[in-house]
Amino acid sequence: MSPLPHTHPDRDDTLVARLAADDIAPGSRDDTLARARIADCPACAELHADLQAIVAATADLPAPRRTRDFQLTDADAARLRRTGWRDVLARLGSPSFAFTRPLAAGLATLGIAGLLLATVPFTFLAAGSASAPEALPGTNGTTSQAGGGAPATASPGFTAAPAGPDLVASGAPNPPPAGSSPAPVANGTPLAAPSPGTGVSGGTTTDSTKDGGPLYLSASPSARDAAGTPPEVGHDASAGGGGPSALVVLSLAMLAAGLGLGGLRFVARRLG
Amino acid sequence: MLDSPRLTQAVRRWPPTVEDLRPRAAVDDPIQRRDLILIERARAGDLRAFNDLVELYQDQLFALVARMVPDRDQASDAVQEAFFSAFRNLAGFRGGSVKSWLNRICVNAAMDAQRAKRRRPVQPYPELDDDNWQPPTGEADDPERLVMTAERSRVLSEALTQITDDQRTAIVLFDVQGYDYAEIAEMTGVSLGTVKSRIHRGRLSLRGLLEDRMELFRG
Repeated sequence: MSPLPHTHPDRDDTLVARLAADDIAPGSRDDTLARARIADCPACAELHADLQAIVAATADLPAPRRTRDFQLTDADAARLRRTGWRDVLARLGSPSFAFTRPLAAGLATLGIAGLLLATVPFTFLAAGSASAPEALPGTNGTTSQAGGGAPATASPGFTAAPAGPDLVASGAPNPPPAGSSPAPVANGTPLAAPSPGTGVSGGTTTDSTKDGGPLYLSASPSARDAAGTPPEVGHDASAGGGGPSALVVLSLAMLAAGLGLGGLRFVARRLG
Repeated sequence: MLDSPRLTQAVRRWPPTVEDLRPRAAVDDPIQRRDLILIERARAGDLRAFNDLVELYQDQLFALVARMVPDRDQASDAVQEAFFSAFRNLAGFRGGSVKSWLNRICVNAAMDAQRAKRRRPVQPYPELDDDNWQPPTGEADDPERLVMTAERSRVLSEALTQITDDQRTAIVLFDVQGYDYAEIAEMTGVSLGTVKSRIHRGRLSLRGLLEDRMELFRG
């Protein structure tokens, strides 16, 4: 067999480098291939020899001589010895406290997840119910399902306000004082008849059948105009419920704890 | 150096505690036993014991770091910082080889220095021609060979500064320090395959850089 040309299409320098480093299992396909290359190709054989020579020369490199003494002085030792809070912080950064890193990450993740859980899914749910096909009478002249615990749904003309665990959309028609009217009216048509599962408060329809919480529906401005009532900024559960929910508070606390722990560990590692 | 009077004296400094400080599992290697004794004394607050360790290992640790960090001043700073770190973390020493423990600290310090160098590039090897590079020993009777070997070391050292930090670190740890792939992977925090790849690619890069000077290596 005549030697291959200096550069052949299947030339693989890395394969030759692996062979030079004894990094190929003897008898393997790569081993056979690499040895064939070296046997057939002068360039590959030269590369193999050069790499081995470089390895040998690297191992024989003279040791650089240090230019200073690295012994510690008493002042160095006094400076480096940890006392008080630095000692505590240093322990936090030590390998025995390595668990604090995943703990911090976990706490922060749970905190973020809790915050999202407290807000986002219910926003989507409310939006979903707002875009449900059933329409409210105020927009198409038909009466929505009433009684029997059927959930109240909003027409596209209604918007749902984001809320906490309780789904809340503000009632578009200016809600009269609570309890002043047994059935809300939009466009002069009863919005929904009160049912055992549906609480009605003024112009606000409260659907307790959905996720066990009240659902306030917010009518569009046109519906408000049609009802002849001035527009009103909708209210939500957090505003009317007397502060954030326990889940939000817990999530914030976990997030703060996770970030704090992570920050402390970072500082401890930097100091160490 | 290991048998120097000073070190013998250092090990004898606190005779009553020597036996107590030995680990339960017998350490057969006398060097390792000596190192463990010095570590225990240093942990107890004996600065001289720690400095004995520094004296024992500073030459080889500097040689390691200086190969990884081409700039000599940066290498010195990295070694000093490594010894500071070792002193601060004496309590964190979990047994085993003191030399390996110090090597790991130095490799970390060298990699930190490499990262710092990337942020603030400096001229590598400003004092390459000075006498810090010792000529090889044992061939002093052949001046021509000595000159050739010195030249080979010089061009190889220069080529080493031109490959990437990661490749140089892997090559120094593998070819010079004799660590295996797994140890290097653990030290540098990368996978085994990455270590192998860095070594192979680094060697190929060196060969490319030295292509015109390969006659120095083939002889």
